[in-house]
Amino acid sequence: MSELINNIRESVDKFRKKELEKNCKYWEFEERGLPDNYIKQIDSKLGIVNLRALTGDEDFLEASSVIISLLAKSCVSLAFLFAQHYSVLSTVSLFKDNKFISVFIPYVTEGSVLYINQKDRIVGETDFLLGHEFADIFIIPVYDENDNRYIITVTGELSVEDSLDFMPGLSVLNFGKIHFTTSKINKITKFSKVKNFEEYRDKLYKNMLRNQLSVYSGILAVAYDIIKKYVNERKQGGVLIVEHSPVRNIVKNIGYVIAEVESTVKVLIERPENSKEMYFAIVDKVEDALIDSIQCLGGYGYMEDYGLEKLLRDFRSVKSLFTEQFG
Amino acid sequence: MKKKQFPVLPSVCYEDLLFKPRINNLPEKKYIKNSQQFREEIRVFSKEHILTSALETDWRIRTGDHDYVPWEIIKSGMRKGFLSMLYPKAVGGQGGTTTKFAIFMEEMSAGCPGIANIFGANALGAASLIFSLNMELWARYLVPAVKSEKKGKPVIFAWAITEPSAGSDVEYLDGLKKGAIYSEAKPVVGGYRLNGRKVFISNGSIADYILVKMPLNRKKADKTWSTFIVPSNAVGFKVVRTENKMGQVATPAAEIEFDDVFVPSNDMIGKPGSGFNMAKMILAASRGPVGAIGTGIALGAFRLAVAYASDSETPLERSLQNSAVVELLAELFNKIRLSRLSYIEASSNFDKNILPPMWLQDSLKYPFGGLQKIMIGNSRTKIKEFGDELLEKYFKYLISSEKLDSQLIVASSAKVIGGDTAMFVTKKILDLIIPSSSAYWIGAQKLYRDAKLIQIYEGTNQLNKQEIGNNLKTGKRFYNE
Repeated sequence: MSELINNIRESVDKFRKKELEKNCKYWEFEERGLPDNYIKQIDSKLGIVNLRALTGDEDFLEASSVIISLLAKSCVSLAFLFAQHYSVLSTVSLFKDNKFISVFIPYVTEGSVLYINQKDRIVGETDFLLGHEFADIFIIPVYDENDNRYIITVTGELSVEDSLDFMPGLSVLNFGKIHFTTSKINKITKFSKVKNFEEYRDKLYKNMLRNQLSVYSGILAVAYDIIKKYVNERKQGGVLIVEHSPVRNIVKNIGYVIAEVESTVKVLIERPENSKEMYFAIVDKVEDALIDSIQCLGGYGYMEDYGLEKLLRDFRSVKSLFTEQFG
Repeated sequence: MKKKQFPVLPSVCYEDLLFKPRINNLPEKKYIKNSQQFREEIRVFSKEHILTSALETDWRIRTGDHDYVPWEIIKSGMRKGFLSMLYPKAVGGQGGTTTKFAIFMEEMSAGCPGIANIFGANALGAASLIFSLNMELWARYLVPAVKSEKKGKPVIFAWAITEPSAGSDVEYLDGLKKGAIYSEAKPVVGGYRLNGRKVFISNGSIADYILVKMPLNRKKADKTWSTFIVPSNAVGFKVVRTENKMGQVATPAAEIEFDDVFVPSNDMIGKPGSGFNMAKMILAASRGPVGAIGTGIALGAFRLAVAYASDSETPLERSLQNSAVVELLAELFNKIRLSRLSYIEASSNFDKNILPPMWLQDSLKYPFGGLQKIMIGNSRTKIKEFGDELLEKYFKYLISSEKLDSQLIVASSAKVIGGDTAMFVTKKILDLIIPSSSAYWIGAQKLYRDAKLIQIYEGTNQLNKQEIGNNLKTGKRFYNE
């Protein structure tokens, strides 16, 4: 790992422990939302929004996976936002300034296709987008009237309708559909006419899957720390919980899954074309490991105090957003 | 040429793991017909009262209205006698079997396991009284509870067993021996002084009576484990807090404190130290219905998935047009069927072999039932002593330890299968449904959160598997022919 990435790791980790660790629980259970402009606050301290400018092309992917994983240790919602943002940055290299990007990846369904008319007005609404309140730019695939496909960026006061409050996790973020006919759009930039729309979508999607795995490695690392501490301190039947073989096996298994996820991310940085296969080969293992981890704490695992149930809820939300087994 | 010698395969009779061949315990035709009718009644109730409010109740409690209890639904259930479903006919209850109750729990849980479990936890609390065989206690607690239910005033019971440092420990003998039990009921003149805390007590904050387990001597918890009835207005009893849970939020789970609470001798169930046998019997009864809750959660999610996949607005890839979806639904259907068979077997096994049969019979038909009625009308301390004696004899002569252990195996198995099925099915269905503000998605994510608890309460799945496995390991119940 390069010195640059080590430095990024250290500064993000320091920030995480100092600021995110204590605040995230408060945002989740008391405030039910991240503070306004929080991404800008983070960027003013760490300068990680325009990461490619910081790392250059060579270290960008590795640095982004390190940052996402570290953020996920304290606040999965933030990690997810950066996972989205870095996915766009690694798909298209046009963005050179400090804009935070929200991305719309339509499902394969026809119902979520957007059109742009001759007056450059967008017709329709997006599927549910998460964390749109922090976005400076939206990047959206559209069709024109001749069925040409474009990738456009949109800025302005985008009106959010049909908010969804029912995600099991990520509850510090808003989840809504952008309604373009009622939005005050400042600027639409057609930056790319895409001959093969599927190819663009596929590339973005694969980057997203890799970054999601980085989110999962952070989630698993926290779960691992929580259960290791618990089972090494508490007793059942007069002996430490960790001495009981079913529990020991669960702890061991989580260790294996963490190693598997981390090495998968590394492989995917080199071989992004395998993202889908490798993601779907491992995602259920991650979920099962998290479900099992709650067992180690018995009833306490199910209550909010220890934070494990929140990890499962957050994980489940991230997984649900990009599940395409049936696509 | 020398004939090759082959080793002979061992003949091991695993069927003997159970004290009766299972096939004999399958329900009869008439019973199946009746239970289908009953299931339909509960489904209609669920449609009218639970499906209409489950999501709102869940949302309301999770987003701040922490102490909200869906009393209206409870009262609607009371009009159908849901609180007293398991109470003996002799006290005015329905004298329902655990199998009937398990079917009730499955169908209610398909709507909302949180709401269903208010009734479930009540039955778990009342079970200590029901199984006490003590007509004096029945007269003082169950008869008024039934009368009150008929008047529309709920009398709720809760069972308190788990301690802050002892979860699974309190559910098996070795755990009680070595576990960190901090509660204690010290004998004093005329009764006992109870001290200690209990955690995760379902219905703990809304119960009128807590059926609490405590040792008379915490260092000999396994030998002195006893059961006490504590009214929630007793001096020294306090609800410390209700927990913020991931799911099943409609059933409040409370931490409760006993600070020198006095319980008169008459309010101890059974003889001193009889608590473990009683707890074992309750778990042998309740784990089947817990498996039913898991089955119900899976069923509820499955119904959502079928409706979603049939909806014309659902993307083709996720609809019944896609053979992968059809195959998935078939797989989930199979799992739910197996889970249902498993809890039906466990519960009917309990009803036929463990549950004292006397209150299941029409009390006028059988002389002993009639005798109960007379005795309840003349409650006296003597009757309490008679009941305690009867309970001891019952455990000694009618329910052998082997019978109870075998029942625990099938009940634990049903519980584990139910919990795992609920988790598996809800997980798969959340993968199928696209997140949106539709009832399909909101309902499925709720049931996913609800499902996780089945793997934890009534002993974690790991503990239950250990119980099953230990019986296999020691070879107590199978033999080499």
